[in-house]
Amino acid sequence: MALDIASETHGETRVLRLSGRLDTETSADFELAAHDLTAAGEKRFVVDLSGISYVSSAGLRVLLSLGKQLSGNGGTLGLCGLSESVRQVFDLSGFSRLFNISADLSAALGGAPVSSGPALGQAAASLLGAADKPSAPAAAPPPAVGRQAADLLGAKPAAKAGFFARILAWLKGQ
Amino acid sequence: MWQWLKRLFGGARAVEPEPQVWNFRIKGGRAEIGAVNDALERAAMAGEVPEPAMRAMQVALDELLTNAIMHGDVSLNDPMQVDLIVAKGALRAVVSHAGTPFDPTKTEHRPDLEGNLEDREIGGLGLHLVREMMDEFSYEFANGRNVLRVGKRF
Repeated sequence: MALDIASETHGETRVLRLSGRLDTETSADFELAAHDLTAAGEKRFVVDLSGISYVSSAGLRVLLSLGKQLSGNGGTLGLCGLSESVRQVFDLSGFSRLFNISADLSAALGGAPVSSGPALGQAAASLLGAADKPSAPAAAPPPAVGRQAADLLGAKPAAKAGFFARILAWLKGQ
Repeated sequence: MWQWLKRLFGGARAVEPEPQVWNFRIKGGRAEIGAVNDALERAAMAGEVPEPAMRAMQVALDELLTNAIMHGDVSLNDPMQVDLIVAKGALRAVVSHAGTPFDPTKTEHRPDLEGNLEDREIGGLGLHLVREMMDEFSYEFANGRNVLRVGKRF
């Protein structure tokens, strides 16, 4: 997936939810989308990166540029939803301390109730007593999870099982 | 009996999987870099590469291919080649191109990581990320081509 940008407002704040990659190919799309909004006078932004698989320096450059612009005109830029891999890139490049980074969108919006999106769904589920049921994950699970699940289910050591099965069959046959 | 036991144990021994290799050719478009990284994602998932290693390699490839296109004067008539290799315990890539000879492993420039928002510049950050995120990073100029090798162990 290249890059999908969903835009919505929460009060005075413009929320941009990004999904896909933020890299050399896609960062210009994000830059243009942000530019259109700042050119229209918007100054308060939260960029939700929870759907972003990775960020390269091209993506960092656009975030830095937007952050500088907003900082210079009295605006704000908050980031949220960084995956482990994206967080590593931010840490390695010294970006983690340049930006106001929150765990999720609700926190980025100052703990105010979110009027739409997954947080509302979770709140509704909680009210309906469904909170203890497994909720849909916000992002696709990492591929290793499938393998871990396979390990847990005993699917991985198929060769060993086959080996022992053969020993057992052989012993039974004696 | 001995032959039978040998066959039984020989058959049960874990067979070392052959490295899986994918080849790509890039003429110089930005979209092609994204396409390689999408293919890397599919290859890594098929090869059971852990997500952190896959993501690190995607960042490294984006940086190295972009650098070659932006600064390497890569000719449209002589595309870059990218080999992705999923081996046991490591994800590797070999990037080669006939552009301007340049060894990115020897760059002196170190990005400023300490400045505040207003002072920060982005220059040099790409290769810094490659150096930090990869376990293997080497360069040679061979047969008229820049050959870059990066690897991430897992």
